[in-house]
Amino acid sequence: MSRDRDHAPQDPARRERFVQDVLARTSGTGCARALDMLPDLAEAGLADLDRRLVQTHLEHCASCRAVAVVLGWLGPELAGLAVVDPGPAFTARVLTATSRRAAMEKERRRLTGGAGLMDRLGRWWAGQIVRPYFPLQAAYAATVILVLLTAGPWAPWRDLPGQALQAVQAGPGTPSLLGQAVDQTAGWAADRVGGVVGSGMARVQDRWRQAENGLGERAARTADERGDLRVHLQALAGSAEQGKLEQAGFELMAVGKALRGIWHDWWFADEGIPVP
Amino acid sequence: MDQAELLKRCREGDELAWEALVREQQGRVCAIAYGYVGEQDEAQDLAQEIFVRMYRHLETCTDPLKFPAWLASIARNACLDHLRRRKARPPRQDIPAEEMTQLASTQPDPHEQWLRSSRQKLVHRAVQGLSEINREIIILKDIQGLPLEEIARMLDLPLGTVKSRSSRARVELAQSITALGAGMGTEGAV
Repeated sequence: MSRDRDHAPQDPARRERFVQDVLARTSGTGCARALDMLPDLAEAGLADLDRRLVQTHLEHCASCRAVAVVLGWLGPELAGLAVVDPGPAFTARVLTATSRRAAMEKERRRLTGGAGLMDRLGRWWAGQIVRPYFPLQAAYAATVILVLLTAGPWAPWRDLPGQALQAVQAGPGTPSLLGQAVDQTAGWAADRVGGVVGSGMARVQDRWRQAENGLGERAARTADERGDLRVHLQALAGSAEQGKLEQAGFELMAVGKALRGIWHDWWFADEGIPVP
Repeated sequence: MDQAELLKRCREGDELAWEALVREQQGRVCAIAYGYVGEQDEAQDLAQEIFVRMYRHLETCTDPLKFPAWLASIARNACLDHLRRRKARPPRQDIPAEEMTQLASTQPDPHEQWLRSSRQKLVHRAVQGLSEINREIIILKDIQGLPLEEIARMLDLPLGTVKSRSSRARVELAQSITALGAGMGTEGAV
C-alpha cells in the first residue's frame, strides 16, 4: 500500500487524470450511479455511506455537480408552475362557452322521438368525424360496402357502377344517383324479400322524394363541397378505369374528406360550429 | 370556500357556484394545458375546452377529496386528444425556410408572459423537451403535486414504475436545464 502511495501522482490535476484513466480501464465512471442517487441526496433520503460516496463523486465531477445544483432549486420552481394567470377575460370566455353548452343541452333534452334520435345520431357522428383516422376508416368502410353492393351476381347495385361512370362523365345536370340507387334497392328488396319489405322500401322511396324536395337551403349551403365531391368522384372513376389503384385510393380518401365537409355544412353550419 | 359544497351546487346547476369554481381553478387548468402543449395561446383555448368537458361531466365527480385528481384526469385526456389531433393534422400553410431558423432559435420567447422569471422560462422550456411519459410525470407529480397512486392509475402504470420514472425524470430535466442554460449563456440564472 505505502509503495503505491509513494508512486501516485502528487499534482491534483495529474492525480485526477490518473483516477480517470484507472476508471476508464476498469468499471467506468460512476456518473450514472451518482445521477441515479442525486434525487435522494437532494431529499436527504440516502444512507450515510451512499451520501458520502455521492458527495465524493460530486467533488470531482463538474457535470454531475451542475445537475445536483439544479436539483437543489428545481422543486420550488416546478411547484411555481402549478398555477398561471390566464388574464381577466378568460373566466368570461369559459362562462360564455359553458352557458351556450347548457342552453344547447336544454334544447336537446326537449327533443323526443325521431327528432331526438336524429339529434343523438348527429352528435355521435360529429364525435366520430373529428377522430384523426376517420377519413381512412371511412374510405375503407365505404370500399367494403361498395364492393358488397356492386360485386357479384346477387348484389342489388351491380348495374350502378356503369351508370355512375356514364353520369359523372356526362357532368352536372344528370339525375340523382342516390335516387336511382334507392329505386334499384327497392326493386331488389321487393323481388327477394316479399311484399312487406317491398312496401317498406316504397315508403322509403316516398320519404326520399319528400326529403329531396325540401332540401333547397341545405343543398345551396353544400354546393361548393358537392362540386368538390363530383370532381373527386370523376377522378376516382377515371383512375379505377385506368387501373391506377394508388391514385384511386387517394381520390377515395379525398371523397371521404369532401363527404365530411358536406356533412358538417349540412347539419352544423348554421350553428356557427367551425369545421373540426 | 368549502369545496364539497361548491361542487354540490355546481352539480345542481348553480351558475354562481360554477363561476366561483372556474375562477378558483382557472390557474391550475391553464398551467396543466400549458405544460402539455407548450404554447400560451393554444393552452388558453385548450383550457376552455377542458372547462366545458368538466361542466358536462360534473356529475361524475362524487368525492370532493378526489377533485384535484378528477380535474387533472379530465385535463390530461383533453390535452392528449388535442395533441393527437395536432399530430394527425399538420399545419395548413408551409413555413418558409427563412422562418425555420427563427423557430429553432434559443432566444427567449416574448409570448411567455405566464412565466414570471427567466428561471421559470428555462424550466418550462426544458419540460417541453422531455420525452412524453417523463413530461407527464413531471407535470402531474412535481408541478401539480398529485399523489403517486393517482398518477399510476391515470397513466396505467405500476406504482413502482411511476416512482422510479419520477426520479429519473427529474434527473433528465435537471440535465436538460443544465444544457439549455449553458447554450443560452445564462449559467448565472442556473
